Amino acid sequence: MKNVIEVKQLNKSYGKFNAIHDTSFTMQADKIYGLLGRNGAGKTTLMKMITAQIFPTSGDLKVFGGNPYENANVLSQICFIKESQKYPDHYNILDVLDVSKSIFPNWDVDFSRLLIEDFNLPLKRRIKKLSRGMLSAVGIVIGLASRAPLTIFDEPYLGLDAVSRGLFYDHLMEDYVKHPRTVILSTHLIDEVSNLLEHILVIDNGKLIIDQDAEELRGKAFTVTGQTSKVEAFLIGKETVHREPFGGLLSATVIRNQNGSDQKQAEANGLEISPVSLQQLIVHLTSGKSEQKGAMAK
Amino acid sequence: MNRITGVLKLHSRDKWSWIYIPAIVLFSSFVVNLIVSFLFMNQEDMYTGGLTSIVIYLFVAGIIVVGKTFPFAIGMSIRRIDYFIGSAIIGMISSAFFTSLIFLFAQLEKQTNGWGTRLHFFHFPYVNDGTLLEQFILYMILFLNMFFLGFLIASYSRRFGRKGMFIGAMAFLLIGSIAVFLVHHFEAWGSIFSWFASQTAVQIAYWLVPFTLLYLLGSYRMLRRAVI
Repeated sequence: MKNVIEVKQLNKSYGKFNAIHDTSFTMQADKIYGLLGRNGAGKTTLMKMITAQIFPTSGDLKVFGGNPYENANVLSQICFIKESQKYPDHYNILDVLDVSKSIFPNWDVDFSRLLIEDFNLPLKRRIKKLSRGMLSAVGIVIGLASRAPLTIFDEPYLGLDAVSRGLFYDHLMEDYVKHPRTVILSTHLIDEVSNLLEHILVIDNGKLIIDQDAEELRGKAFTVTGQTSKVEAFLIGKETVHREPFGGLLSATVIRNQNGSDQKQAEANGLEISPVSLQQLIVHLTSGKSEQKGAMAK
Repeated sequence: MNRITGVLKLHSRDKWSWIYIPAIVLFSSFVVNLIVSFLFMNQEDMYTGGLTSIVIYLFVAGIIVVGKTFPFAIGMSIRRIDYFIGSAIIGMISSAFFTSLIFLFAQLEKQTNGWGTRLHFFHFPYVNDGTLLEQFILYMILFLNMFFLGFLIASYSRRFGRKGMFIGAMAFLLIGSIAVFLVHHFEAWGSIFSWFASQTAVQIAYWLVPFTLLYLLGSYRMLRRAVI
């Protein structure tokens, strides 16, 4: 499969602070990627480098086979919607759409109109006067209607209500099926999007700690709940991601072993098994509490 | 190439900054002066400096355009060079527009003997001494020079931020002071003034061309490395 993004030993430092540290990964064409991580982990920095808005300190970065910096061929295939996108002060929504139309080669006017209607956006209203949620919706409309071969959404739905978020997911999936493209979604609302994501990258403190298929990742761990003594006995020799006692009970998330025998063992011991949600797993892995953080990345 | 069209479109959406506001600035000044010249109508010529308002405006336009549109353009995956070329073209179009306007009004003013009130708002001795072509070129160069000087300052500020602006301003002041000191020390003021006096208006304008080109080159180099 064709690689859309190839990153090798990428570094970005601001003075002594390493925003991105020695990061390497590839992204394939026509997949939906989740780029997850806590605030300040380096997600936006990474995406800004991919789109040549800022420059790497060192390392190798290829997008569509070339360096994105001042590369018309590469940049014309990218649409990057970031939460902090600035618009000229006097612009109204219509201005933004018209300019987008002349910038993005695959822009679909009808689709953009449909989205504007669905999100209830007032075309004539100035960008400055929009609410936070509406501003996010404008970004989403641009991101979807541009149909760029590489579409990046960075925290696309700040302030957006649940209905509109649902609309976004629906439109994204529907349009993705019709016009496959590479989508990178960076977000905190992991559970909401976990069904959309095919591949997951997790960044923590500027380092890539997970780069894995979403299905595989979900199957990596499970949660057992039961009497503290029984659970403790079960946990011996196992990689525990997280433990949470309540009353006489203990709930623990453990990494599944190779052949899945530990799950059977837990069942035999009368422990309750539940699947771990992607959100939980990632929160556990990035909260700094996990006991063996490195093990997951393997 | 079509990305440059995108940048042009991006700027042309802002008719207020490029056409309406400068036109209002220019003509409100003109109207006030015209009224004054009617009220104090006598046999003397009346000179005003109202025209400088538009010259200053183009300088300001050069400064504000970068802050207003650069982050948006780069955010929409436009190349820096396309942004630069597109913005430079818009600056030229705006300069050409106001040059034509002023050129036209200068001729009108001359034909009507200062709008019947001997007002000199668009047409001046010395400045408008040259041929029609020279008058046109003079305004065009002046406007372009002002616009791209503003554009250079804004690009520099984009590239180096607030700290860079401070250092730049300090360096400029220092160099300026040293230059003035040297001129003073070598008692060169006299020859400088006589040189200026020996030049026609358009000849002085020609001297601005290399500076304008330097501003262009400089702002491109800054924007190339500017981040958002």
